[in-house]
Amino acid sequence: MLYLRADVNTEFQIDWSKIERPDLNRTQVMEEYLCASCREELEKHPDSQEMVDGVDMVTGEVHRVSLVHEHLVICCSAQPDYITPTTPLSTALFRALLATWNHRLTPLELQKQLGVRRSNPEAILRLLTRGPVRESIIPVPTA
Amino acid sequence: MDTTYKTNSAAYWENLPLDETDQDQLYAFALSEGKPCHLDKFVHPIVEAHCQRELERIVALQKEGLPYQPAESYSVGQDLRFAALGHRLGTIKSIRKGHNPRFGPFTVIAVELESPTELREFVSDFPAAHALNLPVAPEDKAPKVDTVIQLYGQYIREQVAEALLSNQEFVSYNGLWLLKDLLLEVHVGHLNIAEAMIDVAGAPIAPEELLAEMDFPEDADPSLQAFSLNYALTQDARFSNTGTDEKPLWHLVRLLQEGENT
Repeated sequence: MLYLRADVNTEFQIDWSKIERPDLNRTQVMEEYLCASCREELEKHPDSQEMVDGVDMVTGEVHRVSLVHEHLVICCSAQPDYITPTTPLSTALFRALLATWNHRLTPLELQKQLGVRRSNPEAILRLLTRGPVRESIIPVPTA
Repeated sequence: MDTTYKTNSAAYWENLPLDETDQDQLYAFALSEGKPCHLDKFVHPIVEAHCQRELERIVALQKEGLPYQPAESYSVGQDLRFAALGHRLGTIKSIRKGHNPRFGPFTVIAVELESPTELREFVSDFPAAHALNLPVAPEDKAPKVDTVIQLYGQYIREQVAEALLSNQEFVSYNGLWLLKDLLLEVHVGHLNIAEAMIDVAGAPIAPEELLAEMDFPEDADPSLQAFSLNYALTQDARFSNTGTDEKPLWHLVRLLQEGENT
């Protein structure tokens, strides 16, 4: 097992292997976070687990994701109720990572995603390394 | 703010040890001011110098490699520069058809990026509007000095304070910093006058009152006169400040001790 001493500059990412089960895949997890409009749209889609090329509108990078994840990033994560001031921090961190294509983010970057009033990088790091969320969000060694 | 500028991030300023170039910057600033300055005033020239160096670095980088733009068509083997990823360079390794019902037809280029080496995919022949399609001059995206100070000033102040503390060319009093070479001469005669005045008064005296009896150059800046005197008094064991740093009151240690003994 790789030992990684994490700090506020360590990158973290959702580890789906810790979450998915035979009866629960990542698409089903993400469907819980869809906004009403996207939920309705995708219910009519023959295959919401269809893989698409999600395009990052800032960097141009392409992320191969499910249609559900793509909708989360492009639409649902911009809705005011996606992450609210009362969303538990661990849930907010999970949603923030989903909203950025599950691209690696540091506690410093996660704080920017959530807003400076929501928390601070040290508290986020503590939650990521000691809280229950450490089971599903893991540090990623830098190259 | 554009994240390709490293000076845009807390991480840059938090981990920044000021080097010899920065020390030179602090010295030049202090010399040009010619009078005691609060720590905050030293922050601006440091930030300005760092931002300017980074702008020059990015301008130089822009001369290497074709800038990546999502609307363009590319071919395998081409070298591209990715402005949104810190101007990293990459080489196109393969091209495939893209798929997303949200957009019209487009292609996807697999790029081997440098530093660190990694393979990532980017959109090309992209029909939708994208910010990267608009060429922007590097100066337009450079962070403004005042904004950087507003956001990261707390980190920068700590680094500047440490740099000033470790530089023996600087002296400090009451949060103000001055080049040692700019101190007005406070010689033994001045100190003896101060001692005599306090002795006669039998009570602590404010520096303004002491200064009135000193023969400092008339055209010397008042803040420089006060700083030079206060600093000299802190260096002389005869004197003790019984007021505050902001409003000092200079007393004689000898008289204080006599007062305690009676």
